[in-house]
Formats: sequence, C-alpha cells, structure tokens
Amino acid sequence: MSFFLDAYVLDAIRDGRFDFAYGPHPLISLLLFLLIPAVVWFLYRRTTRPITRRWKNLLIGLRSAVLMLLLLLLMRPIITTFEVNPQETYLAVLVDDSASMQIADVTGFESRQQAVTDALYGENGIVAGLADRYQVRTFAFNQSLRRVSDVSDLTAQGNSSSLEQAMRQVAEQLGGLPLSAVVMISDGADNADTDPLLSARDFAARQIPVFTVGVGQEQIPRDVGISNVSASQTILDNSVFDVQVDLNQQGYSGRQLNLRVMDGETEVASRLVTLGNEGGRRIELEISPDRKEPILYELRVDEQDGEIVLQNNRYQFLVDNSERPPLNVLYVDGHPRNEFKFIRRAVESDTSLRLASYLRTGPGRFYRQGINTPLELSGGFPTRVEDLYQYEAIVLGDIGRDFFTDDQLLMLQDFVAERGGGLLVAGMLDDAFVDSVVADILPLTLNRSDTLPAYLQGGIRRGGHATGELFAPRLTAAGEFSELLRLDSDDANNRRLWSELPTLQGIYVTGRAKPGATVLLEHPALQYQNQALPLIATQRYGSGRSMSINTASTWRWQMLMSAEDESHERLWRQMLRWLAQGAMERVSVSFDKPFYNAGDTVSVSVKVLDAEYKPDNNASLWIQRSDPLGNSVDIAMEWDINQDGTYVSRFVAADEGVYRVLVDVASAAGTGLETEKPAAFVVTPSLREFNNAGRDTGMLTRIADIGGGRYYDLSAAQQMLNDIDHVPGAYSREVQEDLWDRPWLLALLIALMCMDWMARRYRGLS
Amino acid sequence: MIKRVNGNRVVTVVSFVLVAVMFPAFAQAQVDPLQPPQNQRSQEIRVPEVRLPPVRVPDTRQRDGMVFPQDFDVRSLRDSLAPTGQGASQSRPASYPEFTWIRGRYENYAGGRGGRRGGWWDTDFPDAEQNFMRGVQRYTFIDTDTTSPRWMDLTDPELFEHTFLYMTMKRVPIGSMRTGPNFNPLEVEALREFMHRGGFVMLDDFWGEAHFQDFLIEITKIFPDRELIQLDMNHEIFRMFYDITEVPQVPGRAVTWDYGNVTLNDPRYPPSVHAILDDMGRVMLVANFNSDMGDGWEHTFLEMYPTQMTNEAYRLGINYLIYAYTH
Repeated sequence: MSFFLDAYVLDAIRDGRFDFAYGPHPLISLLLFLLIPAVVWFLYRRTTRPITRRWKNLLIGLRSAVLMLLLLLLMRPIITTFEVNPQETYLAVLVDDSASMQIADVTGFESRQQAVTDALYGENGIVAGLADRYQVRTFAFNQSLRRVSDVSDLTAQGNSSSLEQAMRQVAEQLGGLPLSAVVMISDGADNADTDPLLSARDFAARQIPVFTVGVGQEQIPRDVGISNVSASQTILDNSVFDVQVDLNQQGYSGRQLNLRVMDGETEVASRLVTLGNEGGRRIELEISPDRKEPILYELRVDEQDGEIVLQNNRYQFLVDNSERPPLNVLYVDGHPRNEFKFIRRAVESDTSLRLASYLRTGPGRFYRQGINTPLELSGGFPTRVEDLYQYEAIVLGDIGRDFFTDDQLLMLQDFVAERGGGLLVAGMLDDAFVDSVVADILPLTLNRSDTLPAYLQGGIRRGGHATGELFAPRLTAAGEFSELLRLDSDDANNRRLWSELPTLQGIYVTGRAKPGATVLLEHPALQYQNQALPLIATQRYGSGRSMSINTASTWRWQMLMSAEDESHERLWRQMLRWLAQGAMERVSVSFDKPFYNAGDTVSVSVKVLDAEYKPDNNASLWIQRSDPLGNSVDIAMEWDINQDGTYVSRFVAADEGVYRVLVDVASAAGTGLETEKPAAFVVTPSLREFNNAGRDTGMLTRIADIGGGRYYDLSAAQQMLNDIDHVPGAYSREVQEDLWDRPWLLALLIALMCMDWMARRYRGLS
Repeated sequence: MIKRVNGNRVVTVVSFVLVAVMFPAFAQAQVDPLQPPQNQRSQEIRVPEVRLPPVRVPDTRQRDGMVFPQDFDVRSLRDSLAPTGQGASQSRPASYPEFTWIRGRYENYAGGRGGRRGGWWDTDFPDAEQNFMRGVQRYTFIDTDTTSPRWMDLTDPELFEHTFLYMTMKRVPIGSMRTGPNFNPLEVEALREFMHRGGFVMLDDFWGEAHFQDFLIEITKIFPDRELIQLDMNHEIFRMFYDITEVPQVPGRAVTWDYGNVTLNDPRYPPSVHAILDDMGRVMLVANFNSDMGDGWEHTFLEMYPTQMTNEAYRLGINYLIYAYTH
C-alpha cells in the first residue's frame, strides 16, 4: 500500500465502484455535513478574546474540516476492487530482445537493454515484486519468443521485433495455465508486417489484461541513418544503375556529410549532401558497375559526433549486373533513308540491344542486318506468332500498309497488347494505316493527308511548305523529365544540351494525342486542332508500349553535330531500351523480398510462359542455388497450384552474403526456350531494428488500452506492481477495500488539528 | 468535278505529246550546263543554311554525254500524276527528294579560282549523276530525282546535311599533279569530320601508278593513321544489291580510249576498289582505281559506249549507295 492514492483506487472511484459502508440516507449525510460548519460557527459566535473576522473564519474552517473528515471516516468509505490469490495464477513477462535494445538512449547513455535488466532484476526489481503474488514466466522476444531464466539470457541480437508474434506465441505456450496478466517491456518499434493490436484484442477477449512498459526515447536526439536503398537499372545506359537512398536524420540539420558507395574497400561513388530539416529525404546516386556479375555494395555515412545509433550508418545492397542477353528489336523500313542508317549506327556498339533490320532496298529486294540465323526475316515480316514474339520491340520505318497482311497487323496488335512488346513508328505512315489496328495502337490519332488544312499539306519532305521546314523541337513538361529524352541527369544541363541540338526538318502531321498518351516533344510553331503538332509521344497499350516519332530527321542530331557528340546515340538507345525493356520475359525469376536477413526463409518463384506467351504449366524446373560459401544444391521446383505457369521453391538462407540461383527450364512443349536463367539475392545484416527505432509510445498505449491494461514508462514501472493486482481479470475476484485506514488520511487529519491548535494558541484562545 | 479531272488528264496528255514532238529542242534547252540544276535555281524553296556562291559552271558545251530531258523524271512524273488531296493547293509545293547527289568541289591550286578552281572536279557533271539518279530511281527505293544532283564546296557547312559525297580524282593528263584534288587543311578537316559523323565518300576515276601515289598523298592527309585497304570481292559492299563478282574496268574515254580507240580491259590499268574503314569496320570511303563510274553513267545513251560497262557502273554505284544507307 502506497502512501497516496493508488491509480487503481482512482480508477475505481472514477468507475463508480465507491461506496460508504455505514452511510445513512444521502440526504441525512448531506444534512450532517452542512450541520457541522453551522454548529461550529454558532459556537464561535463569542470568544474569550476578541479576534478579527478573518481569524474567526479561519478557525471555523479548520475546525469544520477536522470534524467533516472525521465524519467521512466514520461513514467508512470503501471501493470495490479486484485481487488474485497469491501464487495461484501465472503472469507472463515479455522482454524485447531485438537489436534495437542495444541503442543507448536511456538517461546516462545506458543501453535500453541495460535499463530493462536493471528494472527487472535490480534492486526492487519488478520480477521479484511480481513473484510475491504470481508465478512469473519471463520470455524474451524478437521475431520469435523464447523462455528466459535470468539476465544473461537477454542478448539484444534479434534482427526484428514482432509484438504480435510474441503475444500470440505466449498465448499458445501458456494456453492451459491460469494467466492473470501479460506484461510487455519493449521499445515498441515493431517492424513486422502483422498487427499487434489483434493479439491484444484476443487477450482482452480472454479477460487477460496486457500491461506495457516502454523503454527508450521517443525521438532519438542525434542520429543519421540510412533507412532504405534501392538500385534499379536505368534505360540511360545499360551499365548505369540509379541508386535511391532514404536518409533520416535528427539533430544534424545543416550539416554536410559524405555518402559513399563502397565495393569492398574501394569507393565507387560518392556524394556530398547537406542535411536539411529533420526527418527523411531521398537522395539519388548513379553507379556504373565495373564487372558483369551480382555485386554487393555498401553505402556508408561517416559517423557524426554524438551520434547514438551507428549501426544504421551502413547499408548493404545488391546490384545484379549479370550479363544479360540483348533485347531484340525488329526494325522494318520501307526504303533506304538516312534515319535508318543512323538508327542502326546508334545502337551498333550497344551490346544490350540487337537490332534485326529488314530494309526494302528496291522492287523485290530487301537487305537484312543483325539477324541471328540465315532464315530470320527471310520471308519479310514474320507470319508466325513465335517468330514475331522473339522480339521485344518493333520499329516501323516509312513503310506502306501493303507490306503487311491483315493477319500480320492483328498479330502486331497482340504483340503489343498481350506479349507486352513495344511498337515505334518512326517517320510517317501512309493513309492506308488510318483505319488499321496500327492507328489504334499508336499514342496519336492519325489523319488522312487529304483532310488536313492546306497549310499542313506537303508532307515531311524538305521544301517551302510549312511541314517541310527546319524547326527546333520543344520539350514538353513531361518530356523534360522523361527518362527517354534525357541527355544529362542534371536538369539544367539537360536543358542546355537540348537547346544545343541542331534543328530538325519535316514533320508528319497527326491529330491529337489520345487520352493517356504522353507527348514528350512537340513542334514549336505549327498547330493543328488547337495543339502543337506532337513530335514524340508515348503511351501504354495493353501490357506493352507504343511510341510515335513524327519526323525522319533525327539523323541531323548526328550529322550536324561533332562526331564525338553522343546525343543521337544516347537518345535512340534510350528510346529503344524503353520500348524493349518492359516486354515480358519467357522465364522470369522473382523473390518475395528485396533482401533477406540471416535465417529468413527465401521464396523464389519463377514464371514460365510458352512460345505464345501463355502461362506454361507443363514445364519442369530445377533450381541450382549457390550460397556465399560456394556450396551448390540442385532441387526441383514445385508448381504453384494457385497460379498458372508459376513454380516455387523455398529454403532458409543461413549465411550472409550473395546467393546465386540458376533456374533450368525444360518445357514439355519443347519450344526452343532459352533454358537457363540466372538470378541473385542478398542476405545482409539487418538494419530494420535501427530505423525509426524511437520508442513508439502510441503503439504501446494502444495495446494496453485494447488489452485492458495500462501503459507505463520504464521509470514508473514500480507503479505497475500496485496496479496489476487490481485490474479485473479472468482469475481475479471482487473485494471491498476500506479507504479510511489510508495513511494520508490520518496525516491530513493530524495536520488539520495541528493547524487549528496552533492558530488558537497564536491568538491566545484557550 | 469529274469533268475537271478529265480536263487535267487531257492537258497532261497534250503536254506529253508536245514534249515528245519537241524533244530535240528540249534536250538542248534543258541540259544547258550554264544553268545550275533546277533545285539550286528555284527561289521559292527556303533552305536557311544553304549559301550559294555565284555560280559559274564551266563551259562543257562540247561534250558527248547526253541525258534524258529533265522532265522525264520518275518522281516528278509520279507526283504530277498523283491525285491532289481535297483542299490541297493545286500547285504542289516544291520539295526536295530525300537523297541529293552531292559532288564535291575542291580547290587544286591557288591560281585556279573561278569556275574550275583549278581541278577537274566537274568531270562528267551533271550528266553522269542525272543519268545515274534515273537508274537509282528505277532500280531502288531510294527517294531521289534526276534534277537533284548538286555540287558543293567541301568546306560548305551544308555538306553535313547530306550523307553521300562523290568526288572525281581526275587528273589530266595522266601523271599530272595539277588537276586532281589537292586538299587544303580546311577541306581535309571537313572531309574527316564528314566521314567520322557517318558520311560516305566515293572517289572515282583515277588511273595508273602516278595517280595512285597522288591519291595516297591526299588520303594520308585526311587519315594519317588509318590504313587504306583493298576490298576483295568477298566484301559485302559487292553483295549489297547486285552480286558483283569482279571489279569492272569502266572505261574512261580520256584514259583508256585516248579519245578515239575503243579499248576494253586495258591491261595497263588493272581495276581495284580501295577503302578506308572506321573503328567499327564500316567503309567510310571507297575509291575506284583504274575505273570510271562517272563515264559509265554519263555515256548511258552514247551509242559507241558499251552498255555492259554502263551497267557495271550502275550496279557498283547502286551497291555503294545502298551500303552507305545501311552502314
């Protein structure tokens, strides 16, 4: 029993579980309470010595207070509360044992774990206090739960914390025992995907109150940390990766720090960053891997003075720069022209693209380049689906509608919509395409040339007509920031480089951009249907992409610029990669997480499509995985009955480092599929525990509220010992508790009487 | 409406008849070499970057070459017969074809300013290219016309608006140092840049060891560190369009015929094709040694000139063009 009122007493009073054991009728009680000051006042009407009115009032007040307090105690106030029989029930104490407990942000730079250990097992430890009344079972939890017997079992090594898992598992383990309450001691930094409130609700339903004790500071005062890194391949250049870094900081605003990307001990990229306001921000870096394999990089931020958490100053991430087969682009052009020549030249040295071209050179004659087999394209535009679908993108040059049969055009539509390929029309289309499916696929509406107003007639050829003149194209807002038309990653540089490009000549007039299409480049002066004539536009079509380039003069960006200038090459490579890169793959390997921590279960799923890009359920797949130590295992993959064409394999990744997998596909259909597909994933030390590692009071409070318990700061945890008995639970019984024998009531009574006596003595009253 | 269309047809037919009747006169009038090619004369076309120097094409009146009348041009004919669109202006705007044949005009010696500028850069111009362009129109899908061929100074910035450059290495008489190209530093710079950017250069019509040595000197000026290679008949440039199994010795009338005697396959001048390759192994420059495509094209309609050799000149020329368009 504490000297002052315990919280449970106030609770009980607030909840109306308060009464008087000898209470007469409330009206009589009220009358008595009013009578006391009246009688006292009457008796003080005359005093042995004259005193002022103020003194008289004070004396009346004190004496009345003493009498009223005595009356109150005589009426015997009681509260109804709960208690359990000592040692008859169990109590579970769950202690967070994840790595975030290493953070030393408790007063005096003590680690959270140390503070908890002191509170639990130190002098006046909670565990000892609880053990007086309960059978205490102590557990440590991180991603799972385990029983601990003493201090030494707490290591603070777990690489994630799941409050939900902890509560669910304790419910299972102590399921058959009379469990009075659950006490959870944690920083509340839950980073599992599950919702701890659900478990709290389950406990509430079983009338087992959940008490929570929070440890650590809500905001770690001084910290710089990397919370996430993602690297993605760019279309800018095949060997350049965009690295996006999420950086959090507190207490270092305005400071300049250096972000470094290390490959082993070699620095491969760095960037100076000036920190802004507190909180998170995203920073982008570019890296160009120097070798063709999965590479594990480490991003580092230098340690700042007074920084509390150092673990999150490093972050490992994997960049898979394995050799990939080139993307196949089919380019069909109707006649020899400069555009053809220079598109070919632009991608000639690019190993990530294979441009198979079919050029009609003369009547009955054609010329093929970039073909893999003597038969490829020998019959002109492919007539079979599997022949067409071997390409990821198709470029149509200035070619007539009569070059295609209706079936071929329909196949082209499926190529984009279903196979997910890209279609680019570069130059102009003859009028016969206006009613064809090609017009449907393209981002711009097509017009018959004879319906155009006179000032837009004359065609794309150079001459005195408006559409044949030179012009400097204008980037639209979308174009300026589009990755397709980037000449430099820096915005200002990009604008300057664009302004330095030579003029183009000749524009093919189309109508409005379709809804959903994006115009990237437009004519600076000519308008049609109240919009600037679009020059380059893109859109999504089904699973694929389409693009229009309404001029045949981009070669001027090559011939009219210095031979060293790479703008033309860069733009064409980007555009073709963009077209081809998003196409579906026959075999695609995916992992269920971007990275893993040691001990995680890795789920690899492989999607297999047949030659017509339909899911293939008849393939047999083997997966070979090599761990960082170089051990290889071959196992068969299982078909996922829930998803067509998907095969899965699960295993535990025990060691940190880069794992490689090689998926070997043998399709029952035997369609000449590329049989092997490599992929890689990484197992890194976890930093999750050090991101947003401040104490989550809100979460802990909600758990306690829902669980029917109460939240305490670690410093106030002693308070819990008193409260925990008196919270209603499944195993507690109702008891009535007298309030008259509280020490503070006696103290108050004595104090009032002393004051009364001293006041009388002071004024010389008897 | 229909009536009008018919009327147009009648006019067209009548004009053709007129053309046919007046053919000799037209041939005289149309090919007057004192006039620059039509596309350079036309004032309506605005080509901002073209700077036309005062034109004085050398007097080559006394020549044996002959070309078709210029209005017999496949493209012009096709365009004039094509129905005009609804709302289109009746007079079609003039426009250039995509391909313009460019003949390089170089300067040989300083004293030779004026028309020829000291070199025989204009040998066979413009009949050779006009004839050849007609063949290109007929046999390939390259968009060009017979009126388009032009000459251009090598230092003209407009050179880079084109991708194919023809030059004759002609020196008269054989062994002379005074009439072929003698590239000055600006010309060297322009040619090198032209080829590095992707332009294709065809050199023609030089004969014998003395010319070859000259040629080596000129080429070395442009590419001091690139090797001149002789193309063997397996090179794809001989398979681009026509299968060419041996390099023909297309006779140059001034050389192998000595202005009179018809000599074929003169053993003094074994023909060969030489080339400079870029870093990717693509041909940037091709040179016909001991062979004269220009004469072959020019004399398409000259009775005494062997048609077989004209054909060879067309075949090789077209192969070069298609190669230039694909590499």
